[in-house]
Amino acid sequence: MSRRVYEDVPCPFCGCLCDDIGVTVEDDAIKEVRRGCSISRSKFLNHAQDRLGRPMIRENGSFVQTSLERALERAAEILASSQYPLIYGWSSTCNEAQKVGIELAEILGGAIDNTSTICHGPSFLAVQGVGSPHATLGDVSTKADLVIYWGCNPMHGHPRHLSRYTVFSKGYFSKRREDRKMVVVDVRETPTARAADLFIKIQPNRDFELLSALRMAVKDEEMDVDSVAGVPIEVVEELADDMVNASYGALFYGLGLTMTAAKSANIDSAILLVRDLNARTKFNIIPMRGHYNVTGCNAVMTWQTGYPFAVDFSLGYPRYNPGETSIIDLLSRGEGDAMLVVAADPVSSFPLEAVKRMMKIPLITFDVRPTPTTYRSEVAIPSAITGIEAEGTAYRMDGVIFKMKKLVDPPSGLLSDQQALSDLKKKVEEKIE
Amino acid sequence: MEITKTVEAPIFGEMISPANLGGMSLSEVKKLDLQIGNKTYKLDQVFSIEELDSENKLVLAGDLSHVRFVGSRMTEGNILVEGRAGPYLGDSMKGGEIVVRGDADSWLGARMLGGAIEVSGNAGDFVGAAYRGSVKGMKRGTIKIHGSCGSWAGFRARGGLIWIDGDAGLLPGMHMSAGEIYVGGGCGGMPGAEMVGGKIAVSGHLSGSVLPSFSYDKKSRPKIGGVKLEKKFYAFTGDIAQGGSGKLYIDEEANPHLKYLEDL
Amino acid sequence: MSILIKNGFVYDPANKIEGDQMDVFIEGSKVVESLDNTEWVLDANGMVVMPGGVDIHAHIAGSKVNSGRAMRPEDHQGHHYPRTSFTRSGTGRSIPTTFVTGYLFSQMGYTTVIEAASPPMKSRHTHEELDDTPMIDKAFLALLGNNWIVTRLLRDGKLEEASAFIAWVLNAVKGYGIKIVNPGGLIAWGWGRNVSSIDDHVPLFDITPREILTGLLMVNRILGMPHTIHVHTNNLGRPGNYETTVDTIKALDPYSSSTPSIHITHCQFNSYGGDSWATIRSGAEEVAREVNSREWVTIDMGQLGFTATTTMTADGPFQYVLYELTGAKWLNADVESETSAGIVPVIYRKKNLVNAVQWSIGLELALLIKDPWRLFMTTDHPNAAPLTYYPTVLAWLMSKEYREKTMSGKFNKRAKKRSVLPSIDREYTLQEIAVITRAATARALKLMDKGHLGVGADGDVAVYDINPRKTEFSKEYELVRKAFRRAKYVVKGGDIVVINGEVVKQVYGKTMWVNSLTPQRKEAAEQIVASEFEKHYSIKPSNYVVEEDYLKKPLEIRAGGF
Repeated sequence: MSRRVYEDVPCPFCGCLCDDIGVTVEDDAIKEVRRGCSISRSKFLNHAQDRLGRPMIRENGSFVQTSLERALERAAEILASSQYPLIYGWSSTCNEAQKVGIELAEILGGAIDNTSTICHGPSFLAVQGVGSPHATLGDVSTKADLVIYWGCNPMHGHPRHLSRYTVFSKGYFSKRREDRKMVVVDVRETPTARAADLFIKIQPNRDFELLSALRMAVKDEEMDVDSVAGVPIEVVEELADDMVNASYGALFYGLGLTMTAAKSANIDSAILLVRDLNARTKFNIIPMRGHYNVTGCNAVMTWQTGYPFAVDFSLGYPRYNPGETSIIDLLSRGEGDAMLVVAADPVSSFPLEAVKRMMKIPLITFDVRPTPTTYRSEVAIPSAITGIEAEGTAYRMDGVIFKMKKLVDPPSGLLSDQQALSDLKKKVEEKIE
Repeated sequence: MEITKTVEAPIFGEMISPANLGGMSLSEVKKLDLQIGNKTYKLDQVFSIEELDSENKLVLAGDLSHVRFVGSRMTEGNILVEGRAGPYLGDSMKGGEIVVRGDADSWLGARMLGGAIEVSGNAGDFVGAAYRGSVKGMKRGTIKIHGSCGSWAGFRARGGLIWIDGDAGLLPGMHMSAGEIYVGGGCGGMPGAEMVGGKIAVSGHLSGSVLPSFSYDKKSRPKIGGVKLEKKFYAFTGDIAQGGSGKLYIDEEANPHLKYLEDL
Repeated sequence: MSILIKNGFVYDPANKIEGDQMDVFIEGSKVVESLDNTEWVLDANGMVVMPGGVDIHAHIAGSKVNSGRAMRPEDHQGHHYPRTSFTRSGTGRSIPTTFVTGYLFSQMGYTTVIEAASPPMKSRHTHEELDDTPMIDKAFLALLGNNWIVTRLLRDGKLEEASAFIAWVLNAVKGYGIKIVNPGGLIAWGWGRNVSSIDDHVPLFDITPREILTGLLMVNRILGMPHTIHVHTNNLGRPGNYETTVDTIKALDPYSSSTPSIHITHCQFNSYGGDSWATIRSGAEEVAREVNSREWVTIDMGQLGFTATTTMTADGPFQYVLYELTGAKWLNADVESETSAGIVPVIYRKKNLVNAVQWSIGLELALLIKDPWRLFMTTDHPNAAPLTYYPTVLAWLMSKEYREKTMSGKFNKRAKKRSVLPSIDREYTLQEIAVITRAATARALKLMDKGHLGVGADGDVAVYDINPRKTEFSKEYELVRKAFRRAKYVVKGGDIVVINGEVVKQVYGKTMWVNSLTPQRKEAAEQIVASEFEKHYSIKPSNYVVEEDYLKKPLEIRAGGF
């Protein structure tokens, strides 16, 4: 029996990108996972299950297995002959693969977008408007005596966030739980809310109003109302006091802010609130990024194109304007005649209008498992899992960078996304010539 | 000019403005490059083009919903869009007039510096807005929409007038510093968010509350777009969270949920 | 490939060649004595031939630079670079995307650029961006002046341990040298505060900026680093701060030597007199006096251009102040236990008193400092001006008339009385320009094969279409700007990459890093890491380390103390 023990393994699941995972491999199979949350352990232990085993193409109406060569050929044909291909996904694969995707979009004169478009895109729009006070997670762990979770539920979505980075972490000063105050703002009492010192239940879609009220309270301005968004004004003022009197505060937020009513305006206001607080104390705001490498895709797209998501290359150079160049808007306008999806499942996550349009155009999908998107594809290509079966670079929610490890070989014949996409790119280039 | 080609890709129409095309012969116009997705066409492969009107007027027909930047940076002349217009109609225009018989899309009159736009139907989001990251929204000019518009009308406006007969979506006048916005119908919510100057009037029903960062002044009949409005409005100053002194007017009659202000 | 650069007027100050009409031979990737057969002839007749430019301080890669790009889509508008069959597309004016950054540098004849400031914890990101920056050789300086582990070791007087740990960090992140920004001030910024002088108290550690500076100077010596400590002094951007700069220099007097010991960067931002924005005046004379009398001090200009640009530095508290002054959007990015970063867009205007004085100061420094080997040309890209302003800066240096033209019209008249620039007649010679843009910077970095055209030098050559025998530089400054904006020919590592100002071939350069981690230091450092790392960082030490094969083309350089 052969045995390998890996330590300091970065986990390829959520934006926490915990890098203290221990993995034991016996006879090339993952046998034990230490320190990961239950989702992490499941991802590692079950990595070989339920896989998109072989490349598939649609032939005469049915989905048949084929060779990688044929699948890539068909995919290249579809892309090379399209007038406006859309390329999407990227959050669960590595930077190196994303770079190939960007180059492909540039060669094809199409559009490229990532899952920010349905998640933290509004955060970028707000940062572009007003900037942002930010810090790395270890800074929060060391210094924060006030932690606010707004519109997110880390107990579910980022299970070790509290124990690694906030109220249950120790940091340089070995802070204890009682040294810190945890506040949760949400529309319902989630498990995270139950763990909070203060839970503020807010009426749905009224976050902007509450943020405005907090800004007023922080500035000691009078307000004409008894309550805001269902929250009594005294509670608002008390929270404002907590914020101003903290020696270091951190506001974490998620889709509860980015994807409700005012969307990017919510983030705009949250950032301005934190900015206002910096006149009185130290306060930072950090988005809870969902997938383990959506942040990486934003970073790579930004340094290569100038823009973090929603980029159009029709004119041979990058153009950006979410609302026009974002993939859902393009699909909703009936723009796009082929689509390449890598490491994402838009059929499940996009609005109906966009999915309807997707159903009318040829889809090519690279993924690990069968998904509703792979089932609807013309071509489906199985991927090796980054961080378990293939190496690659990924960025944590706060921009800290990890090299994801390869622990075991992928199922036979499977290439890393980087390799498979490079092969695809080569074929597309040949066909375009 | 009538669009004859059906496309599934963005069309880049920034060359379509009266002064630009008016300065060329018909055969020159027909041979202009037009980008659609990753392919370049000649203008007459996509549009059927007749003789240009001598009054510096362009008439565009057909479904132009994919055509971006029509009338962009135009300085004079008229454009009549007989059907649906695409995004960025009249972007950065300096003068002249654009009339749309159907609906317009988003970024109508974005970054406008002068001239006039009139839309019979509805418009999308970001009427008269600034580009992402920029503070330079509409500065001069008039945009009139007979139907309704989407959200963020007048985003970062620095002047000019946006007149909407119908409803406005969320956040009209966000980050506005000057200019005027009139909403004849209802408003989806949060008018004047982060505004520091300028004037917004909502003549119909406001969904939700006025933001807590606006302070109530009194009832009044505001003057907007050069017109003194007939009805009584609740007048507010804000956005105080931004240190703003913009004026927000919400119609009294259509907003019984604001009656409590009278007791303050 | 063998290349003959024929008959140009060669300016190679390191080898004491000043405008001699001669040939330069390149074989493979190096300058050689002669060629047996020649594949390519670049006719440089009537033109200037110089070693490729070596930029010692620009912000081109890494987390902070990228945050700047992300937050300024409006700055990229109208600045588009379409893809070609052999170049990638991109955008950007003050913060161009990586491919474009490489092309722009190359078009100006630059072949080596040093990224001025990378937070060690996020240096893998810096390497990713550097590896996507074509056309140039590159390296980065690692931010260490506010590192908690280092600061405590310095406070405890443990110089050997501090040296070992810093050697470990530089080896781990593949950095080139020690960068110090607002020493101690960024530790204070972790709680929203700052330090106000070099003897101010740094919170958390019982230490002063003076002690951090002197400690790191000694560490730098112990390690035998090729470059000096590279210092962005305390109080940047504050009226009256020339005193802090002078104090910083004087603090190192007891440690002086005959060879460079400290480099003060973008000195313009740290040479202000007066005591408020209203009374601001130039402190360049005072600073220049101290620099002139000490052969162990080097500085770079940080020259302003009257344009819109983006400020981005590790100096978090300064950037916050700038946001308060301008009301512009502000981004801050603190890095645990190490440093911070701040980004604020700015517009520098001629008619603005402060901006006009700032502009004057950069030029004053260059013109008052006598030894061009200790004064380097930079704009602290993009802080004082984008890199595209380099040719303009050279023209200002070479032409009093151009300076006077700039000081006319809208230029704030009161500003002319706040500096001595109007009274300075000195004009840089072409040889001096070659010194401050390539020969001296290469020497300051101890890049032995760069900045000169002697046999064995790297085949990095720039040919500029301007005739030194027929050009009156002081009057024909427009020709200077034109020539240096678009080089006639550029050879990079023995490849012809630019012809007539256009990129004709895309190449990727090397990333240089300095290894000072001897086995003894490694052992000592590992003990420190074992006991200290975990409480300071949210990442494991093994993941903090960037393996050498992560870099596309690494070039290890052994430090002197190895």
